[in-house]
Amino acid sequence: MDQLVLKELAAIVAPQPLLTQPEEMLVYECDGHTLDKAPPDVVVFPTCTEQVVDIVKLANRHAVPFVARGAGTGLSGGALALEGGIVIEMCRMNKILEIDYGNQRAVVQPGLVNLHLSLAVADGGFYYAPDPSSQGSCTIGGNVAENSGGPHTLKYGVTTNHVLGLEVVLPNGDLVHFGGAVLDTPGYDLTGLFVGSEGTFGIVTSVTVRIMRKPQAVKTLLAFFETVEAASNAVSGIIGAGIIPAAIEMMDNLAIQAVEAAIQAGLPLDAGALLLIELDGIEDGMEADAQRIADICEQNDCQNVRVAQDDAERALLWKGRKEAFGAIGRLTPNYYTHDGVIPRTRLPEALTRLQIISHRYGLRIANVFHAGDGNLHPLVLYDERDSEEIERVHQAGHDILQTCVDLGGVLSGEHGIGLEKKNCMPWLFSEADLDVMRRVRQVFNPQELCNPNKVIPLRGRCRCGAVTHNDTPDHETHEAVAAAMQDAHVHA
Amino acid sequence: MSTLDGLATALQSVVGEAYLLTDAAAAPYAVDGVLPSLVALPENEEQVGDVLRLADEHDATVFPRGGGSHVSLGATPERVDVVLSVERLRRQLAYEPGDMTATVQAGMPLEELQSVLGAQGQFVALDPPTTAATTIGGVIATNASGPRRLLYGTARDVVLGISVATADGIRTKAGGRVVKNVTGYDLTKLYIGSLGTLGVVLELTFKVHPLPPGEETIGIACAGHADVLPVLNALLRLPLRLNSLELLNAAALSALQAGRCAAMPASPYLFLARLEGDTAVTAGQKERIADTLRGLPLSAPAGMLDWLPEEQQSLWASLATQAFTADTVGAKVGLRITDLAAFCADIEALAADPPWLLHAHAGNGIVSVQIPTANDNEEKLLAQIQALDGCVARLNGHRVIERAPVAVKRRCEVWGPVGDNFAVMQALKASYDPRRRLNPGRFIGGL
Repeated sequence: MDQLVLKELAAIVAPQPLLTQPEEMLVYECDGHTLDKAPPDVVVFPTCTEQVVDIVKLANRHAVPFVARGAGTGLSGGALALEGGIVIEMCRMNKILEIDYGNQRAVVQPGLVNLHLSLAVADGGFYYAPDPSSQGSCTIGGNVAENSGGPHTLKYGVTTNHVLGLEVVLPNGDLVHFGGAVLDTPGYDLTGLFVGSEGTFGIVTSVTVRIMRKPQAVKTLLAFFETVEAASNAVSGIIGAGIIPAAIEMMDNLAIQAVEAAIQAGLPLDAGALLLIELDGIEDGMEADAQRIADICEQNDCQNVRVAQDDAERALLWKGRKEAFGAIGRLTPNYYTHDGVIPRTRLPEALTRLQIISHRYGLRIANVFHAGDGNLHPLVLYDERDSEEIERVHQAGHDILQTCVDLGGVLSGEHGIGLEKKNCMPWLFSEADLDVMRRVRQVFNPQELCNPNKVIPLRGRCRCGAVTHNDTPDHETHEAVAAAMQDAHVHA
Repeated sequence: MSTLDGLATALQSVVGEAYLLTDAAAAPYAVDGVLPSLVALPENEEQVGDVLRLADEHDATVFPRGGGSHVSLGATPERVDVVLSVERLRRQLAYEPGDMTATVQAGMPLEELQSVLGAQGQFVALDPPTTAATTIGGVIATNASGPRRLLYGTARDVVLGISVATADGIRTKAGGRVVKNVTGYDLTKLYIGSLGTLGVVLELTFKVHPLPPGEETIGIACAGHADVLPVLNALLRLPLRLNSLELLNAAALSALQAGRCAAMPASPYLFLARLEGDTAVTAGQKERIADTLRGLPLSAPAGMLDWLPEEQQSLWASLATQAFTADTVGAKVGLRITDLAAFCADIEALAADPPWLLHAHAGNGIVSVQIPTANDNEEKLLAQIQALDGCVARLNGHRVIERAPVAVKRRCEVWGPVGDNFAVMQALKASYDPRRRLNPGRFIGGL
């Protein structure tokens, strides 16, 4: 990278240093998606919105690509600097700017760690509902970019359902505000459009989120089954009975073994599957609902139902779930975390097909996932020193996603498309659908400097379908967009 | 008109003579009193695309329409070439109760969707003011919401996927049919509430919910605006399964009373709290509320009211139809919930005669204000809107004039001022609809 650019960059964030040494770049060459790697040229740590604006404007002046990064826990390569350039690391912007219990809101900087928000409002009786398994390290800004989920999204929704407003530095450096503390802002729902745009629509510098009152009561049940099929049927039974628990999580035998080895919670090693079911809300009626759930489990050949007796036991059960991915590391040098979604009623079929894929490629697959909303997380175990095995891991991954799509599902429930699944997008979307997404991206990111080449495959590079449109309408569109943006700048 | 004559012929060959309306037959489809030259009623999604493409080729503007119950929303158009009604697209495309998802065409009436789901003990958690004609597509295009948003949220929380036809007639989709999905940009959110300015909604997939095992509505009367905030805060703090919390002022109460749905107290303010659960569970919650109210330092004790189940039902039904009262200016105001009481006080201080009707979704800060128009001239109404705007601006809220006499609408900014993000909205509109065919001029900032 041009020394002049580095000098200007250093001046913006001084006295904070830049990272530019090749060995320093190793940390930033990938995120939680480790199969693809690309080092940036420089990493910069802004401490305020103005610095982010200046960095983005600098990048535009010199046509340097840039990508914002939170904790780097993303699992689809969203924070990877695919074309080099600047990584804008947001972790220094980690303050809580405002807590407003009366209006059930908080305003936070994007580098704030997800769990730190819940901890900060706990004494006031509140919490922040979206709880990705990485919540102890992932940031709110990263959650906004990826529209992150978590176990409790079954009842409470994902990040987008809890974000009310955003301050955004657009890819051209303009600072704008979407939504806000008051609901139903007139005009297009730009907040909703921005959440989940995986860092390609700009960089968020402040987030207004909904905080929720902690439930009066929580009840956590653990049910063991001989087979994943029996467990799947129990899930259908619970939902069919009109009960929406806060979470229904499933683990298969391989995952149970790994977790038990890691946390010694007394899980039966011979169980084919377990369900972790959590009810929350008002105390009235909860005991009855828990009993109904236990009955439904028994009707589905449950081996045993255990109810957490106190907070400590509940915490232990959740620790097993939240650290399950890490526990899998005891079984294998490497694993690939998938994230597909299927309609909940297709669970038994999906899990059977996963077993077939496991046999076909001779790879062990562990399952730890959000059964209540059909969000699968097959973990494919492998050893990266074996290049032939890596090829099979890729093929198995392809088949896993294909299975989700075949069953009426989608490519990602909460980890994003990023780099990882970009080329699978044509499985679900027509070229016309993708063209609309490309045009919307062009509105925000016309120079393609902001996290380039993610989410949507380049035009004509899809594996299926021919390019069906001629170029004339697009030219016209580009001119109209450019004119509108120019007008706006004149007025501003 | 010669271009439109050519268009009429072309459209007739698409939708058939019986479903292309002109002249007197088009009158019921007027937009703010502006008569459309043509009304097209396509019967399937391909025909919607054809109508859009032909209109585009003939330089004609297109006004998408569902059942027409919320058509007053938006600035008054200068000219209406084609009204495109989706009322014939009303098929159920998929419904799997076990997945709790349903996919339907945009022209399906909301009532019909609810009855299909209700047969399986489920519902889509959208309860905006409706008429029998209100379509699900219209509800989404206007982002209409109702009391249950307190617990279930709004359209952005229940729409999982969407198909639209863009201005050039091309069909595109976003989202999917599963309850959790981050595959691609969330264009669904962009289309919700976009008032048909980006595309015509064809299909929608909803996340549905189980019907609650029971509901119980209670009233809590407040002696004055000073008691509103303490009662509101206390209710929001209590562990309750509260799906609705409405606040009405005396004028709104007396309008309800006139509907004879249930006995209403003559009180300055009344909260309506709707609790969920079976009888035992709601009884427990009611007790908790009563205990809490007794302990509050209020200017006068808050009175709790009970109604019979059928009275409760007709009360909510009357409340929903109040929004369609013809002789009022209807404004939707957004505020912080902690500013609601101050807003009530401000409105009281204006001492409008006749008094304004106030109906708030108190747990969300969304207030419907109705200004009676009887015998009032344009100037007086504009002055009243200006007074309302003053109150809203003082509290850093926003407001939309959802319904008003056309002469008044033409002279006020129905969507209120635009923000620093307006350039993005303009660029999105230009990207989707570069020749400004769809609902031109009706949305915020004249988009």
